[in-house]
Amino acid sequence: MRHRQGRTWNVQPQGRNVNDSQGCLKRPDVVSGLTLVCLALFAWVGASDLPIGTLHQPGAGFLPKHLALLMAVLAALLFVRGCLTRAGSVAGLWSDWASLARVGGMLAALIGYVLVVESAGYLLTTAVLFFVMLHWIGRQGWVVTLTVAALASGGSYLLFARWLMVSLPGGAWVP
Amino acid sequence: MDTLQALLHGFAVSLDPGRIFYCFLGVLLGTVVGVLPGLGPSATIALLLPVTYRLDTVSAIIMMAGIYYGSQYGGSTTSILVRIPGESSSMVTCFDGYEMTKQGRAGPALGMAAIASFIAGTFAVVGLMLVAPPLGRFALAFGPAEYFSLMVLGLTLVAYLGGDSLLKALLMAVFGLLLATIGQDPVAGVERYAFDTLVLRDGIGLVPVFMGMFGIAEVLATMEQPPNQQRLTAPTGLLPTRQDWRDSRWPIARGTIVGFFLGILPGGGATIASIASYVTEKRFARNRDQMGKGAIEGVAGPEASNNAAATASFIPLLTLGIPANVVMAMMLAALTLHGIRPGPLLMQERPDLFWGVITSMYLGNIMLLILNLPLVGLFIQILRIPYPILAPLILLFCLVGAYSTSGQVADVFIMVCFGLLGYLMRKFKFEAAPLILALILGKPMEESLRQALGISQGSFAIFATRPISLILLLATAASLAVPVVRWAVPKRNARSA
Repeated sequence: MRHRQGRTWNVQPQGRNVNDSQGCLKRPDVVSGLTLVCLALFAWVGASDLPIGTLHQPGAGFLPKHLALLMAVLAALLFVRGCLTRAGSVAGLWSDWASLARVGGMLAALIGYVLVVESAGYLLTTAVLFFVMLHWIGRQGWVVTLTVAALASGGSYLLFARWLMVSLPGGAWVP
Repeated sequence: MDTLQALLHGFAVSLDPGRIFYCFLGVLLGTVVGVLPGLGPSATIALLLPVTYRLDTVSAIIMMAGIYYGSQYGGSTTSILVRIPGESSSMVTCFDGYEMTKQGRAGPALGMAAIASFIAGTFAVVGLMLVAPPLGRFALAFGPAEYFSLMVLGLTLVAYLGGDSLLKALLMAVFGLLLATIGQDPVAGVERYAFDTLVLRDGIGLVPVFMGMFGIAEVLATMEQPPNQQRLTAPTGLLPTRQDWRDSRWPIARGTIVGFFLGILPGGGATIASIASYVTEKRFARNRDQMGKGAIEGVAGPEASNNAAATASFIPLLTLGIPANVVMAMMLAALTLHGIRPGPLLMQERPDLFWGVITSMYLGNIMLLILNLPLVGLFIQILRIPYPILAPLILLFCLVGAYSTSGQVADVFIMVCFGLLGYLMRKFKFEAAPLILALILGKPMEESLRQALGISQGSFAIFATRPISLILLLATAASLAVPVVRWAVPKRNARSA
């Protein structure tokens, strides 16, 4: 099995207090508060065409709009709390670039799977996903990679599609 | 016919070799579909419905009942081993079950899950036998106002599930409620946040959300470590220790009671019962400070609760002819296919069916215990697989599970999105439980609120004038007051010291 040492992501400048060195917008609670405020605004805009009704006869937009408002208020509170507590940094949540690359690689593999599974079919796409996961992300050798990829994709197809009759995508070439 | 005579008659029916076989087949299939995510008991029963038409009615219902309560046993396995809930009712088992696995205690967790399920299942059958008719009538007293108050009480559980920050827990609960509004409005049928897509028109499915937020997020978090450091702790010990037993006695008892009463209520179901049991343990368990960190109480209580609820959900069906959940609706369909109308007269008209099914549950629970305990040793061998190989297998499980719920790739995409969300929530220290709880309760809560207001012609007095609703709202107020008092009292003591 081959291993590759990841490059260290130094997030804490030496000899300085991390709390002093981080700008307000880099703190986790500030970032999450701001993101959730944006999400709440998006929810509000998305519900703008829905009838709100009255308190006694709520319409389809009653709950989404009030929930969006409440979420915006709570997220703003989190934002303010994050600014006041002056603790942590978003960059400090990940230890190094290599760990972030592995997570990103896996996410990319999953999104790729979703995009091509219907046209390429379950068997082929699953085998490729296993290849990527085992060889590139998991650093497994060729023999382990190919054996597990073939067994897992073929075995799961037999189990789910043949025996349990779950309808799995056959691919564009299957009529 | 008195109860003892009826029971003996029931055993005479269920101990027929053919029915023992169908009972075994049902619990075996139930265990398998419970372990496999995405393939739930309702889908399995729907698939088997045409096949059961050829069987005699009692055997068919015994088998389908076995599938349902058997799935509650199986659902905990993947929750404990790889943090993927096999069934939605096993979602909370992930919290402490998987932590136990990380500490090398997967064996005791799996063993206790099976034993708690057996004890609760057996007691629930006794309850079903003794108090079914009066409790069935109690369930009928629940209208939209009572449901709304019950859901509001359920949502206050967020205060106990939220971890360190109440603000973050509330935020996630509101976000969950907002996500629950996606899809058609339950009263007028207006589309909300569907963006003209078919998959969002029916709302966000719970299975892709569970798979994403638990399974995918866990794999992503583990992927951060270099491949040579990715490993689960080698399991030590197969069965619960004496201390585990001592710690689990009361959680099992409380879980059984909570599950039994919530299971009776239409719409209550095993999922809400298991969440309620988890919260109860967070309040009352001996090691409540360890809840979420690998406490066996967090496995024993919810697993007892979901089994008791699964058994209790037969009460409204058999005594009133009202299905409490989707699986019970399938059973109603099966009974109707066989020309039987369940209701208050079923006990008199078809005692063989009523008592035969009930007594088969005793047998089924014993079969499940015998089936599941030896499997513990087999299941924990999974943890010996190197994590770089296990990770894609977990992903495969999630991908097929999410796809099989609707047959649409969009559900797989939703699962991946929730996987990323769950991963980021872990990094930014947000708990997943409040979001999930709100997502589960959101839709029925809105439906009940609007129906209740429709009945009362817009008057909110309906929630206070109906006794059960009022009691539930008072319980909500008390539940909210406890954390506030807890927060205030130490501060006052600290000031006076």
